[in-house]
Amino acid sequence: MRWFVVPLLIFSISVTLISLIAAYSVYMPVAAVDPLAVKPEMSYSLGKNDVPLYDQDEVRSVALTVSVTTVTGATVEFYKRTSDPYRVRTTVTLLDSNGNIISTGSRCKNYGAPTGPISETVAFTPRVSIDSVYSVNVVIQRVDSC
Amino acid sequence: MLRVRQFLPLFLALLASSAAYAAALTLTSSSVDQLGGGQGNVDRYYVRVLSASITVDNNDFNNQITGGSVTVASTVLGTYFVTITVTTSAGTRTFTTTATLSTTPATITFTITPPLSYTAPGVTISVRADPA
Repeated sequence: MRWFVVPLLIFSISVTLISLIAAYSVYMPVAAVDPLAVKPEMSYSLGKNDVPLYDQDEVRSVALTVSVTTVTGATVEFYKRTSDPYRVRTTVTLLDSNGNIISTGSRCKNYGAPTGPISETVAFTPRVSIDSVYSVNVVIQRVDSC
Repeated sequence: MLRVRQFLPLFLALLASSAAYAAALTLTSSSVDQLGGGQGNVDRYYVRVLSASITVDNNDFNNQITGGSVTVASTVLGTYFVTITVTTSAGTRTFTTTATLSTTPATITFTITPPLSYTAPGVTISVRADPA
């Protein structure tokens, strides 16, 4: 039985060390670590009005104008559904992570009778970083005067 | 003499094992250095949604949202699971996809099934990106 002890010992040590080497040799590059989310989400609210025969316009799209990382303005497209000439105030607000308004852009303009899609631009005051914007709200409203 | 010859393989094995162990430790050390350095500088990403638009089935007041598109960027280049959630007072629809995002905006077009009534006071489009 004695002859069996040394090979067994060698085998045991070898297996242990091979396991250790395999374990310690696991390469974990930095690229394998997922980036941390600071702001993983943004939301847009597009308004639609429901005042029959007076204001049933709806927003279809909004695109922010960004200079490097600063939001300077927005282009809003809405659908004018009522066939009267009237004034519409377009307001875009930018909100932070707590839902506080950090910037606003607004424009009021008189539009003709035809219905159809209308594109309008607004400029923001103050100008803020896109990374501080968590929500964008777009509201259109028929008004009597601008 | 017999004993020395008996234990010579064991001695050599131990010697080789020690060398291998030292090599393993060296590898480990370099990996730990990298990992430690990485943890100190883990990238932090901001999702930038630069535009959102919806497509509707018609121009009537009681129309439905059939899809849309968003323009999305991330401050950290990578592959992301993008989840787009469309909500009106009539319900919620979710669209998911995988996209490579970088600081250059990418347009993601989505469709929602079944269509969602576009009701007042409007629609909320949420865009979320998580590392894939």
